[in-house]
Order: sequence, then C-alpha cells, then structure tokens
Amino acid sequence: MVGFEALVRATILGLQFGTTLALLVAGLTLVFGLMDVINLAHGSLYMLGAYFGVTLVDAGGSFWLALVVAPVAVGVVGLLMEVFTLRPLYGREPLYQILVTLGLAFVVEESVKEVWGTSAQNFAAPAVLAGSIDIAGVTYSQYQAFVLLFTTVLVAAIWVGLERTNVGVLLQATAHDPEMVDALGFDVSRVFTGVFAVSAVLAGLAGVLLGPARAVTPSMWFNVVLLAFAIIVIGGLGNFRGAIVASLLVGLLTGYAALLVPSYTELLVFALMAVVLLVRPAGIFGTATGDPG
Amino acid sequence: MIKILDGRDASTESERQHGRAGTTSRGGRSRRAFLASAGTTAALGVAGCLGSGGDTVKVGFAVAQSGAYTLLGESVINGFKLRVEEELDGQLGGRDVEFVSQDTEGDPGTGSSIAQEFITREEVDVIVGSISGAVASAMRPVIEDHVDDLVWLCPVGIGWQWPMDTPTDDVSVSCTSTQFITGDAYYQPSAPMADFAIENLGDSCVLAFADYSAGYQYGGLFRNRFEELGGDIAGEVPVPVGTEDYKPYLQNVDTSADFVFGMFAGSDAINFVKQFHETGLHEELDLSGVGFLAEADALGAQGDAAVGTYSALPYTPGKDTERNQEFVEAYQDVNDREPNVYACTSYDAAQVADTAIEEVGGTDANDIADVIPGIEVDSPRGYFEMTDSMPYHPVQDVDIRRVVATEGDAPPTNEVIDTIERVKAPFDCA
Repeated sequence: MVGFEALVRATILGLQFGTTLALLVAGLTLVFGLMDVINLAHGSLYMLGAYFGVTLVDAGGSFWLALVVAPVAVGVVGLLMEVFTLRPLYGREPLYQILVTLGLAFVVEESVKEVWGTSAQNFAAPAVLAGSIDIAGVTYSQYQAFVLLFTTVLVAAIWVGLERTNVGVLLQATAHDPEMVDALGFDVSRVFTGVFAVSAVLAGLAGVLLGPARAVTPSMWFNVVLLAFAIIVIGGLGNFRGAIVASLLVGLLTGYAALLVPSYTELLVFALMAVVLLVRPAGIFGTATGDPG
Repeated sequence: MIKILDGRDASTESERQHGRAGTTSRGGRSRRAFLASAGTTAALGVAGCLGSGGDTVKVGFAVAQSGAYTLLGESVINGFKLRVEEELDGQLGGRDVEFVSQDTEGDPGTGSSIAQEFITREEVDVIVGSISGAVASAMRPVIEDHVDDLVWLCPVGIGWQWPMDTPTDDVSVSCTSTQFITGDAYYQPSAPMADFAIENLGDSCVLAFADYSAGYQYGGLFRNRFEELGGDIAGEVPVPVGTEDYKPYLQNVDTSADFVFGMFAGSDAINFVKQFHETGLHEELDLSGVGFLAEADALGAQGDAAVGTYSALPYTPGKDTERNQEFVEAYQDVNDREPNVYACTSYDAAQVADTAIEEVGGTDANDIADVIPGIEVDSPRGYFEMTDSMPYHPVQDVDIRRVVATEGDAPPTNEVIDTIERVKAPFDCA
C-alpha cells in the first residue's frame, strides 16, 4: 500500500513539476490571451534559451550572466519573429498563424542543428548551488530549490503585475477590446510586439533555468510545446490564472500518477484535457466567450 | 574476473544443433578470419578488382537523418563509409560501390516505402538500416518478398518484439534469411550486466526503463537472467519515452535495494542520469544499465552526474587495443568526432559485406547469405563471429564499463572493468 509519507512526497514533487510547467506556459498564455495567436514556436524559444545558455557558459561566462543575457537574446529573436512574420497576418484566420509559427519551429530546429550540431549539449548549474537539501523527505539539489523559488516569485510577480499595475490594466484592456484601446491613443501593435517579446524572454528564461537538469537537444521543443498546450486548454485558452492553476494541477496529477500508475501518466494528462474540453470547452477558468455554443 | 555467459543454459533444439556459443577457440582462426583482418582484405580487394568485370555494388542506407535519431543515422553512414572509402579504396569485395541514402525520419511507414523504392527502383544489393526497431519491423515484410535480391545489414535496429514477461528461453523472434545483425541482439547489452551485478553490486535491484517495446525487451532479458542467478527485482519503474522531468517517477525507486538497472537511450538517458544524481539517489544506490545509458555521445551532456555508472555494451570507444585506436583515429580524422557504438557496428557491417562479396565473387544475395554465417570479423570491439543459425548476429564479448571522471574540463569517460566473453542471444526463430 502507498503510505502517507509517499503521498506527501508525491505532492511536493508534483507541485515542483507544476511550477516548472507554469514558467513554460506563462508566456504562451499571455500571447494567446492578448493576441489570439497560438504560438507553436514557443517551445523553440525555450530551446534557444537553453542553447544560448550553453554557448555563454562555454565561452567562459558565468551561469548568472547567461541567466540575464540569454533570455534577452531570445526576447530579441521573439521580437523579430513578431514583426516580420506575425504582424502581416493579424486579422486573418488563426490557421495562418498556426502554420507560420509551426514553420518557424522547424526553421529554428534546423538552424540549431546547423549551429550546435545534432548531439546533446549541456551546461552546468552554478557551483555555489551544488549541495543538496532535504524537504519533507525529498532530496533536492540546491539548484532545484533555487529554480523553484525563482519561478514561484516570477510567476507571482507577473500575476500581481497583470492585476495591479497600469501596464496590467492596459494589457487586459487590449485583450478585451483592442480597437477601443487604439482609439484611446495607445499603439496596439506596439503592445502586441512588446507582449510577444516578453513571452519570448520568459521562454528563454525557462530554457536557461531548466537547461542544467536536462538534455539540450534540437528536438527538446516538441514535448514541451505539446504539454504546454494541453495545460492552457485545461486552464482556459488565454486565461493567465487558469494556466497557472492548470500547471499545478497537471503537476500534481503527474506526481500522483507516477506514484500509483506510472504507465498511464501521460495518458491521464491528455485524458484530463479531453474531459475538460467535453465538460467545460472554455477550460476550467475560461469564460463563455470562448464557447463555440 | 572472467565468466562465460552463453545461451547453452537454454538448451533448445537449435542450440543443440548449432551450439557453438561459448566454444569458440580464439587460437584456431579460420581462413575467413584471415580474410577479414584489416589490411589483408584491402590488398586482396584491389587485386580481385583488376581481374573481374566492372560490376558495382549498390548500397542503400535506410536510416533516420532527422528527428531524435539524427546522430545515430549519421554515425551509421559515417562508420560504413569509413571502411569503404578510406580503407577499401571505395570498394566492397573488389567491386566499386555506389551509395544511395534516404531519410526514414524514424517513421515505420516511410521506412517501408524506402525499402520498396530501394529494391524496385534503385535495385540495391545491400540495405543498411534502420535505426529504430519499429522501422525495421516495417521494412521486414518488404525485404522478405525479395530475399533473393538483396542482403539486409542491421547495425542498430532489428525489428523484434516480444512480451516482457516471456522467459528468455521462450523468446522467439522474426527471422529473415538475408538479415544480418552486426550490432547487438538485445541480449548482449542487458543480460551480461546481471552476471556482473549479482557478484559486485548486490542481489536486490530496481528496474527503471523507457515505457515502450525496447525498454521492456532489454529490461525483461536483464530481469530473467538476474532472477535466474538468484537476484530479486525489488521494484519496476516504467517512465514514458521523451519524459523531461524524471523526478516524479524516481520517487518510486525503493532505496532499500542495492542498485538500479536503467534502460534509457538518447536524451532520455541524459535526463534520467542527471536527475537520478540530482535527487540524491546516487548516494543510496549504484546505477547500472544497458550501454546506451552511458554512451559516449551522452557522457558529455551528463557530465559528472554519470560518474560511477555501470553499463554493458559490446563496444567502448576508449577500449585500449591497437585495432580500436586505429579505428578511433581514422574516424576522428574524417568526421571530427569520436566514434560511437553505432559507427563501430556499421563499420563492421561494411567488413562483413566486403568479406562476403569477396568470397562469393559477386553480389548474389543467396550466395552471400550462405557465406556470412560463421564468418569471423576483426572488429574494433574485438573479434566476433556471426552465428551459424538464424537469427544471424555476432557472438561477441561484452564490456562491463564504469564511468570515471577525467582530468580537466573533458567529459567523463567509460573504463572497461570486466569482460563477459562470447555472449550469444539464446533466441529461436518464430
């Protein structure tokens, strides 16, 4: 039988995994919520963050430098992507944006192969965080604990920023009625570009943060983008709060499933997505506007 | 410590008839072995060419050149070409070689149509591939319809499946009369580790494996051998292929066991080993696994987390023999990187083809299939002998390696600490 201690451990691991997921979907859901763009290249931006990390650390820069520079560089890539490929497509059917971002994802994958080669790369976590600590029976490396803390603070900050600041209000207003915001004297296309770049920065940040614990390969974007989409569908497309809660939910589901029925873990996540789509098509936190009915 | 591990325990009908496993004498090498040894063949090859007509040998690579197996596909092509172009003057068995290659994309459907195209339109004499076992399974029926027309060399993917719970003696696999495996036959990187582990790591093991057919097969063969030797499987931890975060799964590892046997490959192996280390499990249990768990390509990315990992594989790039040093240097000169196991098994596929075509004096598939069984090959991994009976695969020594740290910034490397001699997969044909 599964003991109480094992359940506590699964809960902690699940929440930790969920926080990681939240970092990955935060940017994705912002872009969809505001711009109605399903960015299939989001995983590629995450991958670029990890590869920029590899290059910066290899070149003798510290991890901390990479943590600052790589996401900014990814932000620039995101900005160029938005200006040159997405901007001409606003107002058309979503299918165009899906196709262009999927195309970009493949372009990035092939470019990465050209530049960094096909074999897996790696960069080390900072030596300062090499030790390990125990939390409720689970051994964490200090680096893992750092990622957990960093991510929690960052996601909370975005949340508060959206709810409480002027920029947040502007973003919410743009999501609600871009034409009115335009009429009030704000340049909506700049808001879009800014949001897309910020979303790219977040993806790049996730790449640098998770890189040291994972294989950095040209195909790492795919699984990430798949899971991230399941999560934002569960949370309600474009709903920031929903995406964060769904991340934690999927994290917990993975934690418990891995403990109890490991072979069905992936199936359960996508089954949850299917059930949500059937019962609440707009997602757990979605509003009725997304409901085709 | 040297042990003999072979299929004789199995004692099946075919084993008794062809039971050469474990009996090979290293002293009495045959004429074929002489032919296969490196320099000689090249010399004979050139000589043979002068006399014979201009018949060429057409070789088709049906390997993945994109997706997760890109590096493996490249290694297979590079290994084969190294033998042909650098050492045999662009010839196989004294005949000029023409190469064609197509990307299977790791997709069974694509693999099957590439096989079809290679056979009917390209009229290849030899197919080398695939990488993925699933692709090989899809290619098999196509090739079986044309066993008289071509030879099928398999340095990596084989295309076998059986349920995990099958006792090793009862495993029966798909056999094709012109299929020649030059890599491992599932049994070799898995079961020998049980022999090493029971004596050196302990008698209680947690099995962690990629949750798909190859994971079940390698894992099952290890488990069967381990239990046969009196070991106990304390738990099983299946993890979906392509998992990025292993920590939720690693919570299931019973830390009261002595060691973990892991079956993961490619980026899964990197993620598993790094996170096994990160969660502190390495302080409580030893980590062992199939050779792919700590393959040369993965070690760079795994870094120090891999140090101390035990694994079993017929080929180790760091193997300290003259034959291997030669191979490694030649490969590095041409390709600018260290060879991996796939480069070696594909290089050997070229050796097998060369020797066979030389001996037959032509490319008739049936004639070639007649001479390959029993052939002995001077491989960078050491001498191996092709089995006499189907399924044709190498009877070979298996290295037990341990990952050790290197000085400076270089990634850790595998050190051979034991060798299990003359291992043969005790499988029957279905």
